[in-house]
Amino acid sequence: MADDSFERFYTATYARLLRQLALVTGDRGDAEELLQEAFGRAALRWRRLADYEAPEAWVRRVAMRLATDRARRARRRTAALLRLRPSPQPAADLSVESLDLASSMRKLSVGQRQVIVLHHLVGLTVDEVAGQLGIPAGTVKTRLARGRAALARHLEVKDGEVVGNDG
Amino acid sequence: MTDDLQQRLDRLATELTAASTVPPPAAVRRLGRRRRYRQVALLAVVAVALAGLAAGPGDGLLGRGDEPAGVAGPAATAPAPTLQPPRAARGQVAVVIQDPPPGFPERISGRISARNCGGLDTGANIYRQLVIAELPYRGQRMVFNVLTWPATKEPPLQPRNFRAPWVVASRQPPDGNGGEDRPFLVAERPQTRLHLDRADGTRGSIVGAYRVVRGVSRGSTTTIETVRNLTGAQLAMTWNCTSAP
Repeated sequence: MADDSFERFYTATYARLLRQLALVTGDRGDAEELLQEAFGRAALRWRRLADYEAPEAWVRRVAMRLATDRARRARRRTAALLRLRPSPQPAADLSVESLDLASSMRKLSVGQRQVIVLHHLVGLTVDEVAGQLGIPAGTVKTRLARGRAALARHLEVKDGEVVGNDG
Repeated sequence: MTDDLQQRLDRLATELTAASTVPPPAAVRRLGRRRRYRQVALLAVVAVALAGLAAGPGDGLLGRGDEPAGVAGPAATAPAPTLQPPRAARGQVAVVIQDPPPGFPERISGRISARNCGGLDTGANIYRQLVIAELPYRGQRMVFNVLTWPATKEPPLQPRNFRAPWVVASRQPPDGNGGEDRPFLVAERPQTRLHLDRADGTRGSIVGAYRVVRGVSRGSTTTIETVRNLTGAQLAMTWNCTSAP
């Protein structure tokens, strides 16, 4: 790719990846921060990444890992603090239906949110999700099943309706 | 209903990111560069922290003339280095690691990427050498960092042979994530030897027994944990910066 290929790649993929990250973090600001960090790393390695078949997958993988790390750090270091303060609320300009879903997503672990977003929003298969996150396919299936079951409970949707095939 | 879930996720994503704008790519590039500088600085901090630990109580980093006999710490039991340094072509660095721990290569070479590659003889037997090399290895970046603060000339004083230098080898995943918690190989004084092929430090080699440590960053402090003590396995690195890196 030419010298401005990173700019083109960045412009073409930023919004799409931001949507995915926002669902995982539940917060647009957090998602923007993680995504910019991931793109910053991609910019440093762009000469090599440009030859990849799917550099977007690389950026997504880095951003997802950053999201996992951030969630882990938050859990370890500020667990007590988080217990004392009210849990962050989704943005006020969400529709009622989206508010329900956002609240339900927040109750899932970050790992469950990641597999649900990658499988149901991005449309990756279980194996592709496993490859993307660097975890076994069995773990992806487990997280999907538990995540969807939890969503079904929270959204008061019949379990059989939400839990579909694993792709 | 899976389709319904997809639609609802899609809608939520749209609403969550409705007011977002795409930051300029230049800002993202700057972010990446700043991160790279932070990583190099962290490596230097870890190396200095290691040097400080080995110096022991009462020993400053500078102003230490001759090497004290029987230095405390794991290096005191290290054998004198016998490993032959590898050859490095112009603009290249070459490294050999005996009995490498998982994730480290037995032998690696490549183009030197250091901004600093050279040495400075400050007199009073004190010599400083700094070489930083980053080599790709199995999808990761191997970072080799020669840092001597200070190195003392070997008795009888040889102009280009020194002891008490440091070499630190570390590996980082492609995204550079969590580099500070990954293992480092450290070859340290007093048995480690530095030889300069050129007096200005642009060509030289370092050999020494290594141990495996981990620099753990907690807030603003960095602590060093030994993962594997000295086993007699040695690390040798040769650099040749006589052409532009």
